Amino acid sequence: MKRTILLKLALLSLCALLLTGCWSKRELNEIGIVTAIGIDRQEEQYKVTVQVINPSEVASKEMTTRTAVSTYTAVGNSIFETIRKLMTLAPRRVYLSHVREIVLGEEMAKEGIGKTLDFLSRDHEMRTDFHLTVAQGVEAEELMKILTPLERIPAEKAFSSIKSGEDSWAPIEAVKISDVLNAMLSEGNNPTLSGIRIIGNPEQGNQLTNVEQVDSPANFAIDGLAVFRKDHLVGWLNENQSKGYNYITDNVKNTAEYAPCENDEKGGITLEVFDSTSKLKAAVTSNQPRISINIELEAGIAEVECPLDLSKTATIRQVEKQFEEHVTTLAKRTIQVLQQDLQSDVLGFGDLIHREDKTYWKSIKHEWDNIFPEVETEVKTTVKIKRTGTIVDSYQKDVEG
Amino acid sequence: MELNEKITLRQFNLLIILFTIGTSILLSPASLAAYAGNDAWLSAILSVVIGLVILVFFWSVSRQFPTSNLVDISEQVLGKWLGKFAALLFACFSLISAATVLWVIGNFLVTQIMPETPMMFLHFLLMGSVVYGVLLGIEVICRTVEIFFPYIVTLLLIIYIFSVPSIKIEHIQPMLDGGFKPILEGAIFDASVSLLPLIALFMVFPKLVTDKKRVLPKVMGSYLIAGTFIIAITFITITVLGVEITANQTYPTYVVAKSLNVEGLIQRAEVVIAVSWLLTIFFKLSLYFYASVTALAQALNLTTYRTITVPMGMLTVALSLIVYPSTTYANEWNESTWLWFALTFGIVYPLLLSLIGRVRGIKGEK
Repeated sequence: MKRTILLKLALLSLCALLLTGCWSKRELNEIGIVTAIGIDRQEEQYKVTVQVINPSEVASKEMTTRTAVSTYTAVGNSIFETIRKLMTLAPRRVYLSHVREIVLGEEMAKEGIGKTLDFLSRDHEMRTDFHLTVAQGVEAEELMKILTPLERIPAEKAFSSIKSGEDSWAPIEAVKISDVLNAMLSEGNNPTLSGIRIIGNPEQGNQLTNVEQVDSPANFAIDGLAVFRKDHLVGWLNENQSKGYNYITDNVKNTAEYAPCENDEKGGITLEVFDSTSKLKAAVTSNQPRISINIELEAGIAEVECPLDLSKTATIRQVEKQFEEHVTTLAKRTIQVLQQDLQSDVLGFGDLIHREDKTYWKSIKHEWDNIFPEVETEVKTTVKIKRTGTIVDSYQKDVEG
Repeated sequence: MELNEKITLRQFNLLIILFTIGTSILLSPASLAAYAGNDAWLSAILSVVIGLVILVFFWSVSRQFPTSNLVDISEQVLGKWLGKFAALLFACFSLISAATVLWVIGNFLVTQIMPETPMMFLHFLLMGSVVYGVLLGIEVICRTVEIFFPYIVTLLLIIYIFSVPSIKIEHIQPMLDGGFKPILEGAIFDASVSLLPLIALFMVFPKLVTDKKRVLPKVMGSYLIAGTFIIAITFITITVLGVEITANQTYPTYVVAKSLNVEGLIQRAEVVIAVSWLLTIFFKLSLYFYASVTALAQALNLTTYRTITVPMGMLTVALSLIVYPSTTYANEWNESTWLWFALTFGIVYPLLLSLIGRVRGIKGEK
């Protein structure tokens, strides 16, 4: 009898072993879920701003007078130290696994982002599926404080803007940390990061009234691409140049493309691009690399303002030609800006030459930064218009005719 | 020592697959990428080829002594005392290997998943189940292999298949960029990690496997299956993450699983990899531990190995906590010492036994 009781007790105590899984458990109400991190430089130190979810606000169905997120800012010697230092301000320990957005201040990006990336890839709580962005013209801290309509969590809005933008608007590129690291560490490539910019009045952006109006006075927009040379920000690509960049790097899934009518008519014609593929080839002749870029678009007509007879294949061919020139020009301008003004090989031409002709690459890779601005390029675009939408002709043709 | 357990060749083959996948599935891509850069996958293929050669060598040794396990062979070939001494050294090799494997899994858990849990408790838990398994016997371990094998394969396939859309072939071009030498170095290192430890199977195969028909093709087949898993994961990690990132990660496979995202439906699946890895490592650990315990018991002429299983288990846990003082030390040790350590027991030891056995004309039957 005594033995069985002892045995049962022993077995029961063995169950306690299974509790080791709960060793460092943290309940939901003990952690502050960070959705975005903003990193700036302040003299020699880092200024880190975290955006923490206010769970009761996000979950509640009733309208309240509190914001869905709060931000905390601290200054410290390293990012990790600063994040721990936030404990002096925040009631909960921050939890980084749900970070969707990293915003880097423009000033810091100019000084170099390499050191920042170390923490982002070393810490075990950080995942790899967040987007990296650069705040255009402002400190990251300011950008983190804007409340957004529609999405209650601003970081979520930035994340989905970039994600859906990448799928349906050519200038936007979603940049993950692995892309940046690979481009930065490669000898024949350089990274780009999405730009993010405040529109409207930032003063009002951090108040709840910002989202109580139909037209929010402050918001932020995904705009342009930050161009880096190794880990230093050297300049920006504007909307059209970003388009050209994404066409060349085969990063356009679906977009709208506009070109003015020919023959000095007013208005223009817009295509919906369904599919875009780009093929890059490098050839080395007499020690001169030459890059040929072949872009193919499949599109449908989305909007017509020109008096055109779209029932004729000849007209369609004419429109195709017009857009072929248009996209070629976009791509050429982007290459020109990158070669002449920014002198940064974000298109990965160096890697391309490396892949196609490794012996030649070995002989030039140390001078690649000097060679890149001189590299000759050739752009060829093919546009195929597959359909004209639900109507055939433009009504404008009859109005004017 | 009496061993009257029986396992089938099928079970034995599944054991080989899991034992070979063991730690390699999570660790190999990083070391291969560090050696061979974007040719890491070629290096993995070469490693499997080298592995096959070593496997044929193992097979020829086992043909030479058809019914003797490693301790028997040592005693027959080297004489009673020298043989026992060699067997004790082999028991030490298995014990140290078991401790390092235990450290590897503990370190993985505290680095990636549970940073605040003391490693000792994780080691106790895992070693507890291993000791229990070994106490019940190799038959039970092998039946467990049969049960878990489909799960492990399914979990790994989930990661493999869903990583395919993220593959960028550019990452592995141009081929043979750094020449052939780094590929060979990577392959030799990888073979030493994934194949040389199979010497521990010499404590299982000769006496316990019942149906020894067409052994070589079947064993080679199962090794090829395991090798395919390692080649595939190497290919996937470097094409998904890129060479630089793969080489700089401690657990690149885990990172691939982290970045997995299928249209928002399947994401954050990295624990899947952790679970399948825990399972494969459980079997690798069990086998090392079994080899160590049985070799020791047999060399000491014990009637059963079971009496020393629990104390040896405690010893393994204690050893695993001090075997590597830090991760940096572990990496250095793996790069500089492990190859020679494994070569000594994986190649030199059986080769010596085979040669001396031939010279002395010993057939292996008692």
